[in-house]
Amino acid sequence: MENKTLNKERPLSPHLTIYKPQITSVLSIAHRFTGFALFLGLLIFCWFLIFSAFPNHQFSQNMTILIAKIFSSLIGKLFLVGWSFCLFYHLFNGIRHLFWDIGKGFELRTVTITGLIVIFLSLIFTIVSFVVFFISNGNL
Amino acid sequence: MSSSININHKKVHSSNHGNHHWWLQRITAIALIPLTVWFVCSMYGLITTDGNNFASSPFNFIFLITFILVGLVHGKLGIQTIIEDYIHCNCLKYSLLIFVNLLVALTLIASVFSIFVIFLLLF
Repeated sequence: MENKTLNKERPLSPHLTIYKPQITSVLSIAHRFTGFALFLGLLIFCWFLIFSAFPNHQFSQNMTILIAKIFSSLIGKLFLVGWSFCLFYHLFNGIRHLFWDIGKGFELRTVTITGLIVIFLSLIFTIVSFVVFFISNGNL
Repeated sequence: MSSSININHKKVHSSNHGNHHWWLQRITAIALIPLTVWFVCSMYGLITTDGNNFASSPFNFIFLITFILVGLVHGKLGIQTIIEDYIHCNCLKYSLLIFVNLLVALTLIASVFSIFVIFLLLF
């Protein structure tokens, strides 16, 4: 018995299996998730910039062309639209977080309303992104 | 990752690291609001129009460097929090934390110099 508790095989209360998803919890985990996705995308963007700065170097040039090709394809553009959603969502929800940090907006009604505003704005801006990436004749 | 000193054989932890992390995350977040607006507008502009004038503007130069710097620092702080929250095996946790910090530092330095090259040498 002692060994079992020492080895961390302790019982755990159910969490994800019993709680109904709320706007508070879902938006909170989405903030973390989008932040993570943004970080990965930003790293890729930075390395694309780094490689594109050296057009005379064979490896760098290959990497630049490869990344440009990947993100010009259909799947790549979908990823870009997804990254855009993450950006807008994290931006608007981040502003909501900053208001919380100065102590404003904790009332349940306010939390719900601002949460819905964040989702709505993110979707609108993502649709604009979608238009820019897919419909305008852009040079990606 | 916390600084602590021994006073009468008791560990006294400095609160500075956590506090510093919190403030840095908020300050970078505030800075990223206008920077992200600029980034989105300029990327849309680059995609939908001819991008040759982008590299001639000093504002684009400054804002791109600042956006990447501040964005990477903000992201690194967030990733640190995620790693500390979900990974409990000390060996994996610390090696991941060190790896992410080194990767971000490398990416930061390389990006800044590459932006110099792109704006000043290539165009």
